[in-house]
Amino acid sequence: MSARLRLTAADVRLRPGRVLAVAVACLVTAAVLGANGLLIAVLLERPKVSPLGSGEVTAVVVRESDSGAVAPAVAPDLAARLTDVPDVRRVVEFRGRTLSVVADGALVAGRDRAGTWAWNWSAAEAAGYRIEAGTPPAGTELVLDPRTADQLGLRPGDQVETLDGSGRTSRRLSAVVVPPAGGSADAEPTLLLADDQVARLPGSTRADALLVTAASGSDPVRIRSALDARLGDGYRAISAEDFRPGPAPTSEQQVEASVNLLALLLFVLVTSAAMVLGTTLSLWISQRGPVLAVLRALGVSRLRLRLLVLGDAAMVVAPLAVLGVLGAAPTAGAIRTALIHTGILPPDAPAVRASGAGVAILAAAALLTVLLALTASATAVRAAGRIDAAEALRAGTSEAKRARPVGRLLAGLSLLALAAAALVATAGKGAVLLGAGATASVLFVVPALTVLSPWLAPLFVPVAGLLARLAGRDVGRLAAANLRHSPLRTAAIAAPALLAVGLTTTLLGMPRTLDEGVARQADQRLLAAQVVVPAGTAGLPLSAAEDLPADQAAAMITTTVLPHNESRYGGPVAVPAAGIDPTVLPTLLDLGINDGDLTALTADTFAAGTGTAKQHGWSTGNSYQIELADGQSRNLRLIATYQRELGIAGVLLPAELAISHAPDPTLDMLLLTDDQHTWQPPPGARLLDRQTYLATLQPRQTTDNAAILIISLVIAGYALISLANTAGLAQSDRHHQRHALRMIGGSRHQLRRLVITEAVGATTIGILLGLLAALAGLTPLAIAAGSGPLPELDPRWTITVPLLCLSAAATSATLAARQPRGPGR
Amino acid sequence: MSTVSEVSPAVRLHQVTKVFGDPTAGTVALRAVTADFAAGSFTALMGPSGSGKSTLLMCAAGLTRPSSGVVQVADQRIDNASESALTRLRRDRISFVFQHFQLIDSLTALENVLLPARLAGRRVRSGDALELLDLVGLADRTGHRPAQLSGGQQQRVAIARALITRPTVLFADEPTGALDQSAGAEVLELLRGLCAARGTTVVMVTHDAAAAAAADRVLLLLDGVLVDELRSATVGEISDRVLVGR
Repeated sequence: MSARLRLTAADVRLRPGRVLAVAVACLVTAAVLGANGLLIAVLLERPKVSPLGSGEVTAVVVRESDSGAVAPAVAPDLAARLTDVPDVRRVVEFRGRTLSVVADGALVAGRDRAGTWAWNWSAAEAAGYRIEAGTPPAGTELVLDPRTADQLGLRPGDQVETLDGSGRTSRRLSAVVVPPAGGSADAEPTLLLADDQVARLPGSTRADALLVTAASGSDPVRIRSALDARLGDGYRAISAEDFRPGPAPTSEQQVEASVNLLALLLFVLVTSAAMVLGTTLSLWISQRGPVLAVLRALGVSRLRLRLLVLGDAAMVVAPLAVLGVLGAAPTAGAIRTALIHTGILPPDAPAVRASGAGVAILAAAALLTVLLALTASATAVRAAGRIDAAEALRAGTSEAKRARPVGRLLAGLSLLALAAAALVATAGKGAVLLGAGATASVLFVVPALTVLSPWLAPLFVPVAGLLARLAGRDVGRLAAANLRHSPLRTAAIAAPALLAVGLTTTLLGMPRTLDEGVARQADQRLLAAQVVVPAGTAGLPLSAAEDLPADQAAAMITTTVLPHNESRYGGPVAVPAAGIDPTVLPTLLDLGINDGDLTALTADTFAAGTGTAKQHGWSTGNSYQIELADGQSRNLRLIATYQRELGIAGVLLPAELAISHAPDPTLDMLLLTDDQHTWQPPPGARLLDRQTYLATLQPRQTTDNAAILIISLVIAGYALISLANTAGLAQSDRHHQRHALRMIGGSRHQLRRLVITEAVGATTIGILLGLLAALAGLTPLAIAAGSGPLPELDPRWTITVPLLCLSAAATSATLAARQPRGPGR
Repeated sequence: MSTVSEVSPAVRLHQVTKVFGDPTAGTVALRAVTADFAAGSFTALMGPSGSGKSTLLMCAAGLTRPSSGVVQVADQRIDNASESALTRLRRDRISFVFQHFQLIDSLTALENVLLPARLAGRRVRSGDALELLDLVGLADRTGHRPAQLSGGQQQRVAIARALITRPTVLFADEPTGALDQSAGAEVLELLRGLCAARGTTVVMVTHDAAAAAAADRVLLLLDGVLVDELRSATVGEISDRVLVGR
């Protein structure tokens, strides 16, 4: 064993408490990072089911909007341009619409939606759907899969009623079809109509996509390349397996949301890990000061000393990281169970299993942990090289006062500047955008304050000192003096508390503040006596309002637009829009018109929320090129802006314009002027009075809240472990002081109170800084949401997390500073 | 050997034995030591390394329980006293001065001096502490922290701290061990003068014959046994005895 290795081993053996804290931080970091990676990988690998199967269709041509999203609308002349591509045998249009079978007065539910989705027979035929019994559909005829037909007790030739955008229709079942291999999942009903029937339903006249069938034996990849070359910008050819027409099933939306959640969690974890490992390792390195001072005095150069410290850190961290990732699989299992339990993941979400990719992910997690640890402790390593041997040896302990590194100050100020920039850039641009700005701001403010805590903590020491006085005159003053005397030590304890309180308060407070704004604006906005909303996740058919008097109801048609003048804060992003009939709108909604006149909302005009307008630089009276949902661009004039845009579309279009350009137009809601007691809502719809509707707006979707709560609690848990580590570590080299205090008459009880007071004082500083960081992010959001300067906080966790922090710090410090019964021992 | 003074002793050890480790096969640090330390006296404990002088100091101060024998401080038996009773004793009757000062880095000189009184829950006027700091020659350093003071100055703060509770006995463990000759002499002079003025009994462990010469009495230990006693001895006499003892 080399002398250096022996030195490290001896240090670890002699001071196991110090290394234990580093060990816990590394083990947890590696395990959680590895678990996160495993879960993301397994969810991304989840097999997808396409209604087209995997056999007949060689390629699917889809339109790709400027934002990169697949838009279900292709130009009418596109099919003709593709027929002469080499080896292309057939090009068929694919069209789909929301259409539901009505049985016993209720909709026949799809897999997880209130309604179902139907598409055209030619596309099904091209994809290899095989008729089991009956004949291809003609006229108003319908085709079903065997399972759905059995469920409804239908045979070819029977009549069935359907509900779609044009109303109720009685249709004859012409055939029962079997999907091709790899086609629709068993539980998803297959509804097929004749091509002209689908095209006749309300909505854009454009096809959703083109299905390309190539000559047998041709290479699908080559065909897709040839198609891409012919298509040019705005279109691309994808494989049939990747084609997901229609509204995404909830389970896939859940998986996608979970992957996004885990990716966000990964980002936050990496940020937290850098801080947690950094503070823990830095404290450990700084506590080795006396040993390093001896080495320096013995002639070890600064560079060698730094390399030695870095190497020691790597030797301790690397095996722990490897050990930690061994716990990643069970951790991933626990996270998966929690996600399923809270409804974020579907129950059939794949479980983590052993694979080569999994091993690679775990290796990457271990490597990332080591790199994070070493990078985060760079400042401490650098400081180790600058150690003043004479000073450290004279002090005799590691409590020699250490300078606060200038690099850390600059890094903290830079992060603070970025946080301020995020807020300034989004100020006055509406609550939604400001919400994003505030989130970004807090993601910078919290690490900024953590990095700056050695400078900020002393400012809060008087507050902590007041609390310390409560611990008694005997030890309170000493505790306050200790907090003030060692800003790095105080900051090391305060930082994880800041992280836990700052992030959880912000992450949980932000949706509440926005919810409060949404509820407030909805209450101010809604004048309608009654509201009709979909019973499930799918929208209402356009025909829902057909038997209501036109002057007593207004429908809001769900759609999106893509502004051509890019958002000032990034690339083109689709904006949620609604199509409305403006004639009765003023009696149903008070949108808080900022300028202009909403009743002038006719063809070739649009209205926008104030924030949305500011975001895109729109001014009332000017015209802008806007791409509608089916990919067609129109020059529209902004005729009004409105203030109350929270919880409602950012862009309002004339109803006719929205319907004619939405590939599958549905209603988001139906507003009624007076009580319509005698009116019977259509299947799949709910009629609510005003108060009941407003009550449904709170709380937000529980899965959203659960996701935020999970992220917050993972961060809080991680920070608590770190807090317990640093609070314990901070006491482990204070035995000289405790010994001296015992000798001059301090009792064990007094020393326990001193240790607890110090830990609680430093943690209180972190809690105060965390609340400050949260308020810095949430207050502008609350003001923008119209809730005044005070944001809405989650009372349960805003109180619980600080209490947990205080308990963790106090317990850990007490255990680390356990006193022998007599000072002589 | 045993020594018994005529006046009532501040500290009394009777047949004190201390064995570390296994009672039958462990290391015997003290062997049936009997010694009295008269009130107001200044005694130095000397002996080679491992002779048991530090163990004797710890037993006398109640920091270590003897394996057998009786220890009394100010007529109070402490060898079987409870931990809380010993804590009260340390607050009220005894004080310590250490080789490495053991001052609290985060407190000023004045706060360090006041600390024992605060821990004891006594209301002590700052004036008392300032007076003590003035007596040890640090009236102009009251707001300085230990890191801002020299070794000699730190030890003088430690002496002031030890005296703030007006202890009956002051135990000093190599109080000049970390100081140069001049600073060490100053500290000894202070110890002697202040303790004489206040009637405090001083028990000091030292290796240094010059330091021991400042004491009224020198006790020599060898292998856990008191082997000799000198009174008002010179440095030369002490050195000679120490060499003979070896």
